[in-house]
Amino acid sequence: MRTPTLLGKVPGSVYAILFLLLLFRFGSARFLSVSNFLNILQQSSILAIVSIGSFLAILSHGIDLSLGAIVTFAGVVSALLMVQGYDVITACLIALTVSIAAGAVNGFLIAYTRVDPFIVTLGAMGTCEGLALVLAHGATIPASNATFKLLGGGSLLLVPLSALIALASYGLFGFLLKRTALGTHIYAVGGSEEAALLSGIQVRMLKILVYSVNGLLAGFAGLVLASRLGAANPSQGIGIEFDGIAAAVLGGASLAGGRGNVWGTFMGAVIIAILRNGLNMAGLPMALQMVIVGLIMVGVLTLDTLRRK
Amino acid sequence: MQQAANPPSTENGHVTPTEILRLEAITKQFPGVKALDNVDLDLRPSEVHVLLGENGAGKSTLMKVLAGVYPADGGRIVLNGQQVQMHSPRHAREHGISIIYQEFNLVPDLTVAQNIFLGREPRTAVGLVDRKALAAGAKKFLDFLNADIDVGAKIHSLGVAQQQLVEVAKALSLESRILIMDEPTATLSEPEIQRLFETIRNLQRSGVSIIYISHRLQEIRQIGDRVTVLRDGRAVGTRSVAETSLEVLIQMMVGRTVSQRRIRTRNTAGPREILRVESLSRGRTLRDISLAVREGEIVALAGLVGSGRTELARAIFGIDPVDSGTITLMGCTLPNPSPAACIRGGMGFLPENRKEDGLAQILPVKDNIVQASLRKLFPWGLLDHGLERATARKYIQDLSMACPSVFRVTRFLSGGTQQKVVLAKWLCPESRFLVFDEPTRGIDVGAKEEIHLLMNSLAEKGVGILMISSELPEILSLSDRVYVMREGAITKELITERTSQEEIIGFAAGGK
Repeated sequence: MRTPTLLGKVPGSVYAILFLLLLFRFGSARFLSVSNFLNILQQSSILAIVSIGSFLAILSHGIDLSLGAIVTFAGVVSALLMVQGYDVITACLIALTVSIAAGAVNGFLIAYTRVDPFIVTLGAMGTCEGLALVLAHGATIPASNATFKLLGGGSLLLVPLSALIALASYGLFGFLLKRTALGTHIYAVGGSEEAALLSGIQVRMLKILVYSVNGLLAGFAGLVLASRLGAANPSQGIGIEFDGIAAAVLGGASLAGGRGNVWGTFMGAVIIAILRNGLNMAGLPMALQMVIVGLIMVGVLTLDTLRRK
Repeated sequence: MQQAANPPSTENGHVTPTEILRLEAITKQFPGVKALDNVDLDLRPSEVHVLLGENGAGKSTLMKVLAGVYPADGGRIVLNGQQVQMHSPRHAREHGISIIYQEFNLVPDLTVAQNIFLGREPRTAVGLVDRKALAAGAKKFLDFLNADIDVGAKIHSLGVAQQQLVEVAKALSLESRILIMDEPTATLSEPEIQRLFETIRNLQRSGVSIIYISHRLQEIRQIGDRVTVLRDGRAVGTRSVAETSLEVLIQMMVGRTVSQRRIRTRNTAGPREILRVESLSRGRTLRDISLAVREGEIVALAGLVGSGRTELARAIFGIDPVDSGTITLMGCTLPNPSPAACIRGGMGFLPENRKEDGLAQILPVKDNIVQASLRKLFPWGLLDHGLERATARKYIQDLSMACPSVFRVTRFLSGGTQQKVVLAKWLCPESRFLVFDEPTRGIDVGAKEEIHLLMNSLAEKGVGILMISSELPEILSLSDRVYVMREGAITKELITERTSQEEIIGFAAGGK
């Protein structure tokens, strides 16, 4: 209604995606094929799920650095349990419970001690990574159960199951944030904690909830990752928390809190996945890929900031 | 309005039926200051009761006690004939008391409707937010206020006046019977002010009582029924606005003229201009400002909070960019004013909130003292710790600071000593022109006089001083000339020896 033109309404991330698609089209003929598209979907699904958590933390004017470590931790826990003879469902449920607990501890500390979320989740990152290493004795644990492998490798009518799960998660959180009072309150806490408090919102409970949900999301992503790889390695989730933060910020979330929406974050996650995939197909070494991802992120954000002025 | 014709009956302790609220003997102590001292106030149904007083008179503190932000140390709050305790802002709201601060409590990225019903969203049968009811409810309150605001618009897309209306709508939706407005016109333009007054009269007609905090005298005439004047934490008196002249109100605000020893015994102003500002403008905060300070002269900038004094000081020191105008320092016009350029030109700035802006609190005193003169002391860029310590020791002695060691961490020093550290920081590079923003705010009486004497002796040595102060006795005691600011412009230039508190406040508040 208030936005003057369609051009201004479309977030910068959409232009970035179109630009990248065109660019990589010239890099590799196979890039714009259906099979590669499905591949990108599958690759982006794990990051996409984690990014919801990154976004929620940022939205509430916090940050969550523990997501990657929880991804690792959940994978290791589930794989270990399955190796020890637990059935798939039980193993997954236990892994998810532990993940939620880790998130809840984060939330509790952030809400009640007022220690900065950066520090709390940095500590949790170290703790969870370390625990995963201890539990796995530093080794990779196989997760070859056929049912378990469906989660990350299965597909429905050609579409990867994990991508469907990611999309469904976005649908759910999009709805929660936009259509429920709970969602409004998370925006309120991030936008002005004081105003939220004076409006009778239970700010502390809300923060505990946000970080617990983050634990759940990261734990779930950890299961999908272990399933896709058919193994749990105590380092396989490292760094994904930074891609998640990048996705949320690329998608328009403000680190000052209270701004952005979950579909923007989805776009951000897709951009990062396309970049990784396209640069891979163009045959660039990993180190150079990192350089390019970093530069593009700073570029997009600079443009977005300048455009908003 | 009709109530205002009745004579006030504040003397006796009885609760008259025309009262909805009575504050009795409210006392509030902050560390070192008695912010409120036995303050009485009564409020009638549908009246606009103005709370008038200078900066720091206790207006905002009193209202924060009423709104449940601060607990009172003594006294009672009687609401509709019953004594109540205000435990929290939420509790006060349940009693029908809402407060609108100058800084609004709105969430910028939520819509108007979401903000009005934040924490009390209407729900559908399945527990989702009922968006239709939300929009309709918000529209109902905004329509009542004749406010043409899109309920779906985000708060950050609205102007200040519109945001204020959203706050009023929010208060209405809480069924508030008493609305406190803290200087509501401070950031509004003239047509917006008239709209606000219409809104206030509307509220009055529907039975809402309003406590209106202000120090703008002209407004009181337009909108107030009764006025209570606060001074130094005490209620000086309550008057009917219609029956009281502005002169009387000014006198009540200022108090009896205390015969005070003038620190500045002789004017040491030399012929040379140290600072000249020509037609400086910045948005709506600074409008076509020209002034001059000569060597050895102390010039005061008087005005109310929000009149643009601090903004002017910041612009002169090159912190904030200006739209037009020039700043000339010792005959050299600064092409690109910036703090670095101003310091090189011999200027120093002692900010109002010295704790945050003036000093690095966690560093030792010596580091703060040499902070603005590193290049002068150590031209090769290498620190000489011996010289650093010796320099710091010299200023600790010269300014007789209560500071046992140059290694003392700054935040452990008293307010007065900290101000001396800031002063030393600018004496060290041998500044020829100093800007003091509220030089003695939050400093106890003894240290205050010491700072005043130091400023005077600096002027006698030829340093030019521009001093912002909200304390009129300080201005009268210390300055040679006074510029009075109002709404971003200089409205009057006065010679200190030939003026009075009443005259200054008259020009500052627009009573004349």
